[in-house]
Amino acid sequence: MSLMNPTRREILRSATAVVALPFLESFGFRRFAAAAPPVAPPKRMVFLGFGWGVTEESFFPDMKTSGPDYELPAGLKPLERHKADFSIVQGLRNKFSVEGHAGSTWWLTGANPYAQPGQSYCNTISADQVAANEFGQHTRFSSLQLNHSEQGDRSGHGPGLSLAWDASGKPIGGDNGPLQAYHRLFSKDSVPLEQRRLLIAQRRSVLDTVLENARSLQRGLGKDDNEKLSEYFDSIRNIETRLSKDEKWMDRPRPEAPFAEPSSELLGRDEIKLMYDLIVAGFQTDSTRVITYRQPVATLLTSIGNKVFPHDMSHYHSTRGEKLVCSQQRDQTQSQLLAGFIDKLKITQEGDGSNLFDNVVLAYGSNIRTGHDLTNCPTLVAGRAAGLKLGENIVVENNTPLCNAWLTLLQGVGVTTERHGDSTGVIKDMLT
Amino acid sequence: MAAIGHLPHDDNSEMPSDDDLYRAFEQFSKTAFRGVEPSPEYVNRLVQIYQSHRKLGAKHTDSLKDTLAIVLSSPMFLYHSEPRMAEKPRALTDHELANRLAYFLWSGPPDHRLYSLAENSELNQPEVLSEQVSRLLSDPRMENFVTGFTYQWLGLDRLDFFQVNLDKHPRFDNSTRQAARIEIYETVKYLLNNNGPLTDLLKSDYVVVNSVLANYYGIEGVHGDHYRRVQLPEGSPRGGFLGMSAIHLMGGNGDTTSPVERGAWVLRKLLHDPPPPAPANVPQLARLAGLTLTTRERILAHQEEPQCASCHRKIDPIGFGLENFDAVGNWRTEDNFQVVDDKGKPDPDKKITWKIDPSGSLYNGPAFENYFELRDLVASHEEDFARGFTEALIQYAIGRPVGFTDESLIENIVQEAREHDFAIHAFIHALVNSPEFQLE
Repeated sequence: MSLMNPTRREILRSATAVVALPFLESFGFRRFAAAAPPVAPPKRMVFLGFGWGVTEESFFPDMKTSGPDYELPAGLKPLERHKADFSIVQGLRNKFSVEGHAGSTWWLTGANPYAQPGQSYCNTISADQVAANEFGQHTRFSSLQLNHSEQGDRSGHGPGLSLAWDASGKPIGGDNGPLQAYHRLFSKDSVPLEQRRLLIAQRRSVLDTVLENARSLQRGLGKDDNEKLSEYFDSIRNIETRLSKDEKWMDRPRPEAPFAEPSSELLGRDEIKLMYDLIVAGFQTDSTRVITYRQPVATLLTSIGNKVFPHDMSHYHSTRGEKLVCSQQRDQTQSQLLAGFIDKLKITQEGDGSNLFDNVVLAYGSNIRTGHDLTNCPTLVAGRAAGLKLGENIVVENNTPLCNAWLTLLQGVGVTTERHGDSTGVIKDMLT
Repeated sequence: MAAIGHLPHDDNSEMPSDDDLYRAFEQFSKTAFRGVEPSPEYVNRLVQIYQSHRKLGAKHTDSLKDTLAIVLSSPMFLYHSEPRMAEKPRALTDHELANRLAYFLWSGPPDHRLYSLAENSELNQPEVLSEQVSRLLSDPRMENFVTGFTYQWLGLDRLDFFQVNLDKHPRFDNSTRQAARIEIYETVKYLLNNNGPLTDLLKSDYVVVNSVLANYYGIEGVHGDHYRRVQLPEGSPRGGFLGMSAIHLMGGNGDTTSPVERGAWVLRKLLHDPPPPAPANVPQLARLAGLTLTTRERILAHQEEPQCASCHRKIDPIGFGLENFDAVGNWRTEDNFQVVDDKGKPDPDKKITWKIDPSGSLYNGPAFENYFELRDLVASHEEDFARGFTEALIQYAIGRPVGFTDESLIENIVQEAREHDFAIHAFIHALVNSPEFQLE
């Protein structure tokens, strides 16, 4: 690309990760086309969620020193170089969440698990999906759900396949680990176009067949059973929507991968770092504008040489000792990784001279504060895309709905929505 | 697989005819749908999809697999369908009854014998049904019932929550832990195999163990990996759930015991008198860290607030009565507490040791001096235990929560079982013979 002047290319190469050249066409950026004015890069959202909470004594700034002049506590010290570019919001909670082992299930939804009569569990749409419904039409993937590659749930996330939940409150699956995510983004489709069309037609035929069977089944079912079957219909509809999208994007070329295929053996700290690189690549190639990442905690601990079980670590309060040390190390390592991610966002250039950090809004946190405590859950926000006040210790009224923060972010990036979960309004203190 | 037996099994034969395909797919679907006929449109579509795969260049075996996969993704396979035409409940068809019975006791579809009885409309006859229940219970496949049901009934996911502190409990290595977990399942299986009384789970004079666990419990003369009944010596605290290591492991964090967890489990699972759920966001009492207190003193701090005491005075005494079992189910007569600083270094001036005092009383109930008296008290609640078991059984077998309209069903099953001294098969027979099991 002759647009890129040599010095900028050198800067990109010298960064710790090689960054893909952006898909300039999709930004409508055609500076050399005389008539067309440059179009601003789109806004993106990324949510980073982890289980088991934090070390409360050293993660939260003193509530009495709200505003920009707060002292950075030990757990956030690795983020010092970005202090002016992120804010901590204190006092938030999902008031209906009662599960002390579920840091992610209801984090982005704020749902009441008992809202469906006769059931002890249910969920509603997650904040990222609200954004994906609007932003998703412009990109190959409406959203990307990234996950740890761990088996089972040792990282305190709770039920779910990712951080994302659809409009019916059903879990949305995603890519487990960097290798799967890499393939999702960059695998080339070598099948000829005509064949791909036929394959899509064939898949549609499969959907029609199972629907036929479902309709036979439907006759004579009671109300509850019909609701169960309607879940089946919903999932078929989701597949149909994805097929339509596949069809629409079929003849557009896939973006080039910015780096080689990752090893399948990356775990913990290295896995998170690489996943953060993939998030940058995903945004840069405009493959999607909404990403969630359900991070590993269990393998993070083992990757830094710590042998304490993560659940035990989260109960450091009365035993202290090695569990407390482990919890603090976990905070430090996560903060280091987050600082590295923000570095990358800041050096990734966009078509109009801005950088990715200018056009992203980022939320990092958990539904669990510490132990089994779900009040004042850890919430860190960054990125300039939503008009947020950055560099501050923002203390809101105790028990303000976490969904108010999500609503603030959503409206901030231009999503048209009046409420989310149990929100009661936007948090003005979070905005400039 | 017999359904597709007539089709070629390799990729070199001629393409099968449409008729052959139709018949094969129809038979396969009917078997997969457990006796329900698929519609002709459905089978025709399957044939068309197979053809389209072949047209796109796929091999015969691959096309066959892809088509059959559709059958296994269809709702009639995935869901048990018991459609109801009118408002009133109707009797299940023999096929539906066969399915319900097989999935209840085997977690799988009916076998050939059960299927034929259904085909010939013989299954709904009481003697035939009874005979089939007995046959299914004596088949090795009933092991699926043991694992699935026991795990859900007793909440055994808690067994995996914690890491055991091996410095403190060196004898409870992974091998012992695994053996302890299996003891629970093997004991339930033993009762089912021998139609033993359910109440043996509250108190018994035997255990069902292998050599690893026998060694751990200090029982001599047991060799080999298989689990078998072993008679206990007089005065042994083992025998029944309350003597099992794994149960005590669940009532702790792998390091220290939790009388609260243990008391709550006994109330929920044995006495059928569950305490209300703990309120959300109860903080750990960090102010107690660094104080030399006995476990009893530490726990009693939870009763300082009246809103906490209202439940804890019911829960905690039972837990205290079980304190002779340490965090990994070892019998002990004394306990100690060592204060450590933030780095984990023990403070030599802050350690206390005490003799365990297991005395207490059930809430509003009889007092007990020691574990053995507590166990006897719990064992006297055989009907409550039977009720809890019955409710769990109903939910597992019929696949729906138990409600107040099930009162008479539960009562009938418990009384029927009582007449057979709570023999475990009696519960199952009574449930299968009930209208609720046989009606939609």
